[in-house]
Amino acid sequence: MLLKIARSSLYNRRISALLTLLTIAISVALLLAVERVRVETRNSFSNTIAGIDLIVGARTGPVQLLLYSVFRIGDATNNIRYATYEEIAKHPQVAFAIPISLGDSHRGFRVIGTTADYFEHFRFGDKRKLEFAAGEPFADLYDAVVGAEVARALGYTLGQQIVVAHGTGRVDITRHDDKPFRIVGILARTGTPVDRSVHVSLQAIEAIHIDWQSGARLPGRAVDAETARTMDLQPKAVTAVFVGLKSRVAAFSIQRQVNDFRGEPLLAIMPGITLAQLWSLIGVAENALRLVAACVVIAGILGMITALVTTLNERRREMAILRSLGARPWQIGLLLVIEAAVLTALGATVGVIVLLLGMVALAPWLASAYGIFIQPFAMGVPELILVGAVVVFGILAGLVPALMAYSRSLSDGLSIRV
Amino acid sequence: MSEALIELRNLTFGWTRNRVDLEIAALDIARGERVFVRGASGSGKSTLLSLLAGVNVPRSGTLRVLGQALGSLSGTARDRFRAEHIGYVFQQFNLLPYLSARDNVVLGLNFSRERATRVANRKAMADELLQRLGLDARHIGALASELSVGQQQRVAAARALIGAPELIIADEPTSALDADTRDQFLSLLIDASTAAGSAVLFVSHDSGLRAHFDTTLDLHTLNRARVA
Ligand SMILES: Nc1ncnc2c1ncn2[C@@H]1O[C@H](COP(=O)(O)OP(=O)(O)OP(=O)(O)O)[C@@H](O)[C@H]1O
Ligand SMILES: [Mg+2]
Repeated sequence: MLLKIARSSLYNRRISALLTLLTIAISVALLLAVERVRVETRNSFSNTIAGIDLIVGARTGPVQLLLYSVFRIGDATNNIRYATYEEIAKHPQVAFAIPISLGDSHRGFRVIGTTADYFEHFRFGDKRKLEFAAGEPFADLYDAVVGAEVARALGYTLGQQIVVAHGTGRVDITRHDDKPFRIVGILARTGTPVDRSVHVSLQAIEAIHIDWQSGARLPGRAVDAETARTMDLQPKAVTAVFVGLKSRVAAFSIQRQVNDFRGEPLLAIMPGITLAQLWSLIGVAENALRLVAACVVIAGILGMITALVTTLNERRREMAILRSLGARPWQIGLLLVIEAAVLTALGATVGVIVLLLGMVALAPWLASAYGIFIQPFAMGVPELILVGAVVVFGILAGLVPALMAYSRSLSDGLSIRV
Repeated sequence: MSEALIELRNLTFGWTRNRVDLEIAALDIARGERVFVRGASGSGKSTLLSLLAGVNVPRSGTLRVLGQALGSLSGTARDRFRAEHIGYVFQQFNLLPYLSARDNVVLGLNFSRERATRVANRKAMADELLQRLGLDARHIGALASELSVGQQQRVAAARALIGAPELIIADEPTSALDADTRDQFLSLLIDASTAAGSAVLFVSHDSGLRAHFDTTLDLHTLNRARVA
């Protein structure tokens, strides 16, 4: 019966109840969104690279080197000489060295020049190897291997021709359209920036730039694709080198050797340590964000208390009628608490649904703009605890008007006049 | 158990601190007695009923209902006492607007053990009472807020009658009814109270109804606060 009264009474005040519900829904969605993005950011960042002991690039900030080489965020300011890469690869402690060359793109996706070692030695997540969903590594000069997201977003299949553009803008302005590539491999999904990359050989990068100088095509000296094959395609520079060591113990000493390298200014970083640096940078902003989200939830619940207390005045008569019929204080209290519980529980549910829809809608954009791969349906225990806490908090908040309701006198409520 | 239903001595009551709205030397009502209460508007009829029902407590004097001194009970205890023993047709009806007529009638039984045990099938009993008061099926299921004033009044009356309480207090329960409906209500009230042995306190400005009652109380003479 109490449930029926609560339901009918709520329905009777559905507009204000709906607004209260929305307030709670929005605050819950916001709280969870912040938490989700925070966790997913960490996850996708730390899952991106594994089994790489050192990353070597031109001298710059460690975080910057990590961002452009691994996460494909931002651009390298300088390259390192190919000879330097060869020297690193020859080092007795080095098990493998994967060179990468960045700077071109294909319809918003980064193009990376590398060697077959990339498919052999690159690891992500818990040391998983790259796998081919279809096809195989590049063999010919104009072969390309695309990531899962590239294939999905652009609808690519094996054998299709693609054209690489100069620079890394969203829109392909200057295109290397005289030397198209053929897709020979499509990688399986990894949930890392690899999915959003197009892989070609270092020689291919050399070939498409053979008639270019400082970012512009040399007039009157166009070299067609077949002629380029016959020319000297020895790479002259790479952007960074992923290094795997025979023994991790050597990491520090090799890092020092690289940093002290005389040939040119180099920087070697250990991905794990630099990632930790990145976290301490982000941590402050992260906590500020969580604080704001918590404040929004508190504001939402205060809004609900306000709504309950203001309707209480209108509902004094309702409470008095129930009392006059013999309803006990706890029953009237329960009525208000049920109402608060229903409002917060429904609000939280709507909030979660809104969040899921929002994430499904925004996930592609987050992935392309920030390299954050969100799994909308991966809500876990922490989220449940958060939602539970909000509902409990809301129920406790319902006690405030419940206590107020009973402190009023009966004849007061019964003799409210029109 | 004493024969007296209501035993009232030297009672005073005021709505505000420095005022006396009601002052009664003595009033006795027996079980099963039917009392017609009259008096000019503002003479204190509703105030007296609210005291008898434990909605308000006397400022001084003694008031016993079914041998229970209401003044010594807590507010919650008075609520329970009222729910168990008194059916009250409020002058302003006091229905819950968002419940149906039927649910309003049944509502009180949820809070009153004794009255609930006297009703085998709540819904059927509510429907029967409402039907006898002239509400058709359509209106029995309708929300209280969608009923006419006279229909609401009959719902309030049915709510007071259900479960056969020892005392039925009706504050101008026929004010919004036409002559036919009023007679219907009155005969139901008399039948029901006779069958259950309930006492009835009935406030009305309609002197023609006096014939149905055992005694008449005139607040004009009873309430000395007004005489002075
Ligand atoms: N809730 C209240 N607060 C303050 N004073 C009240 C209240 N209810 C009634 N009174 C006062 O008590 C006096 C008696 O009122 P009461 O309602 O008992 O009259 P009544 O005889 O029932 O009149 P009517 O026939 O109009 O219903 C009036 O003077 C009124 O002003
Ligand atoms: Mg009155």
